[in-house]
Amino acid sequence: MIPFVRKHSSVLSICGVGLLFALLPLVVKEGYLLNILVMIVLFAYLSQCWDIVGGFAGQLSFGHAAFFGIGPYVSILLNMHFKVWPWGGMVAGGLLAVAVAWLFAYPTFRYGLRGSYFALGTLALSALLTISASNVDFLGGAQGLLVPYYEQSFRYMQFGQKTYYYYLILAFMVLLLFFVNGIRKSRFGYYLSAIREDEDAAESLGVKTRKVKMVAMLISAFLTALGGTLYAQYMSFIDPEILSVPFSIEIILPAIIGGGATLFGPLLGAVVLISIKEGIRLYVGHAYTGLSMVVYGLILIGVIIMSRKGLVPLLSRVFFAKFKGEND
Amino acid sequence: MGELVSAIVFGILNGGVYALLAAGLSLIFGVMSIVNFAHGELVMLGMFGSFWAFRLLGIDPYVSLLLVAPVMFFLGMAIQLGLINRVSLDDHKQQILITLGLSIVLMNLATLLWSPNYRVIAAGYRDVTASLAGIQVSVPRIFAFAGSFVMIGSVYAFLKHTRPGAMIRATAQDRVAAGLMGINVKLIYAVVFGIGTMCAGVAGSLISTHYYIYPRIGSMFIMLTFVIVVFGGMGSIRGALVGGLIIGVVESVSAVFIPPSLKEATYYSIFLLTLWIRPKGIFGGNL
Repeated sequence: MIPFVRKHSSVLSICGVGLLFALLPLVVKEGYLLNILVMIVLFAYLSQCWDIVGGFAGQLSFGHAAFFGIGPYVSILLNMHFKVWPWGGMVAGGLLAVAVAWLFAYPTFRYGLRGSYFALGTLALSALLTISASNVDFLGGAQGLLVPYYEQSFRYMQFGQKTYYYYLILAFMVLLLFFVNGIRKSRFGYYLSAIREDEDAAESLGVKTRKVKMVAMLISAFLTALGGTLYAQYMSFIDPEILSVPFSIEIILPAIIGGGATLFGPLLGAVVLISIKEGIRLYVGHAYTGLSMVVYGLILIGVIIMSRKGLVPLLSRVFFAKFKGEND
Repeated sequence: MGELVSAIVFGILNGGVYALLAAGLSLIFGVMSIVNFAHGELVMLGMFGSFWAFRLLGIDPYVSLLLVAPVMFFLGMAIQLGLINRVSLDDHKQQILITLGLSIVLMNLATLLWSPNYRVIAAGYRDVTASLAGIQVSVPRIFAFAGSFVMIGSVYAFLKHTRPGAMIRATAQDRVAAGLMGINVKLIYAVVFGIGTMCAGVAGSLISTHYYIYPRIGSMFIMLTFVIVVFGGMGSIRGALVGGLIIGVVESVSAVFIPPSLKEATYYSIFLLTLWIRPKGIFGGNL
C-alpha cells in the first residue's frame, strides 16, 4: 500500500485535488462565489500553460496573452461566419496560435535571444497584436466581439448555469495537471529543467536547446489558446485587452507566486490571488480595484524575496521539515 | 515643407527627453543585465514630485528639479539595496520580476492616492513659444531638451572621467573580477540603480511643465523606452542618445503622414526586427 502511494503520489494527489474541486459546487451555490471558482480554475489552467515555457524552461514570456487571445478571436469568427462549433473553433484557434508562436519563436531562438531580450520580444508581440486587433474592423476593433448565441447546449459550449462552465474548465485544468505531471517525469521535462538551470551547459551535454524550447513554446501556445476560447464562451464577449501585456501579467502571476516548475504552484497561486482580489472587491468595492493590484505587486515582491521559487517550495519546506526525505 | 521641418524640430526636442529616459534604463541594463520594468513609473514619480511641489509649495518645476534629482537618486539606491539585492545577483529573471512587482505597486498606489485624473502644472510659461528661423517652438520643450542633454552629458562624464565611474565600468565588464579587485559590487549596483532612477525622475520633472500628469503615464513611456534602448543598443549611452533622437523624429514625422495607431504598429515592428536582426542595436556593446 505505502510503496504504491509513494510511487504514484503525484497522480493520486491530482485525483485528490480534482475531486476536492469537483465537490466544491455542492457547498458553493451562490453565483458570485461560483464566478470566483471559475476564475480560479481558469487562471490556474492558463498559468500552468505558461509555466511550461516560463517555469519549466525558464523563458520569461510576457506574450502569452497574444496566444490566449488568438484562440477566441478565431473560434468566435468561425462561429459567426461559418457556424463552426466552438469545439472545432478552439482547435483552429490553437493551431493559429501555434503558427504565430512558431513565426515569433523561430527567429527569436535562431538569433539566440535569451533572458531580457526574449522577454522584450514577447512584450512586442503582445503589444503588436493588441494594436492590430484594435484597428481591424473585421476583428471588431476596440469594441471586440460578442459570442453569437444559438442555444444552450454542449456542442455550442453555451450553458445557462455557471456550474457547467466550472466543470468544463475544471476538466481542462485536471487534464493539464496530468499532462504536466507526465512532462515533469519525462526526458523532455528533464531537458526543460536543464535549459532553465543552465542553457549553455545543457547544449554542451547534447540537449538540442533550440528545438526543445520551440516544442515547449508551441505546446504552451496551443493549450493557452484553448483556454482563451473557454474564457470567451464563459464571458460571452472579448476585446483587444485580452491580447495585451497587462493580461499576460495576470496569466503569469499565479505560477510565479505559487511556484514555477511545480505541479500545484499555479493552482495555489490562482487560489491565493483570485481570493485576495475578489475579497478586496467585496469589502472595499469597485472603486478600489487598484488596491488589489497593489497587494498583487507586494505579494510578488515579497514571495520572490522570501522564497525565489514561490509558495509551494516555501510551504513544503515548512511542512516537511519534520519528515526529511519523505517528499519527492 | 514647413510642416515637415517643424515636425522634425518637434521630434528632436522630444527625442532629447526620450534619450534621457533610455540612458537611465540602458545604464542599468549595461551594468546589471536586467530590464527595469519600473522605469516608466519612476518617470511618473518625477512628474508628480514636481507637480506637488508646484501645487502645495508653489515651487517652480525648474527649481523642484534640483530637489527631485537627489530624492530619486536615493530612492533608486533604496530600491536596489532593499529589494533587488536581496535575490542572487545572477538570477536576472527574479530581479526582473521584482521590478515588475514594483511597477505594479507604484502605478496602482499612485492611482489610489492621487486618483487616475489628468493634471497639468499651470505655470505662466506653459504655452509660451519662441520663433526659431520662422518655426514656432514651445519654450518648455526647449528647456526639457537642454536639461536632458546636460543630464546625459553629466552621467557620461561621470562614467568616463571619475574614479567611481571607472569602478562602474569595471563592474559592468566583469562583476567577479571587479569584486576581487576590492570593488563593493552591491554598492556599485545601488549607485547605478540610483543614477538610472535619477535619470527617469529628472526626465519626468523636465516634461512635467508641458505633459499631462497621471498615474498610468508610465506604461506609455516604458514601451517607448524599450523601443529606443533596443534600437540604440542595450547598455549603450551613445546608443540611447542617437536612438532617442531618431525615434523622436520618426514619431513626429510619421504623425504627419500616417494615423497614430499605425504609427505604434510600425514601432513594434521595428522593435522586433531590430531584436532579430541586430539584437545588440546600432551601438550595442559598451557603455
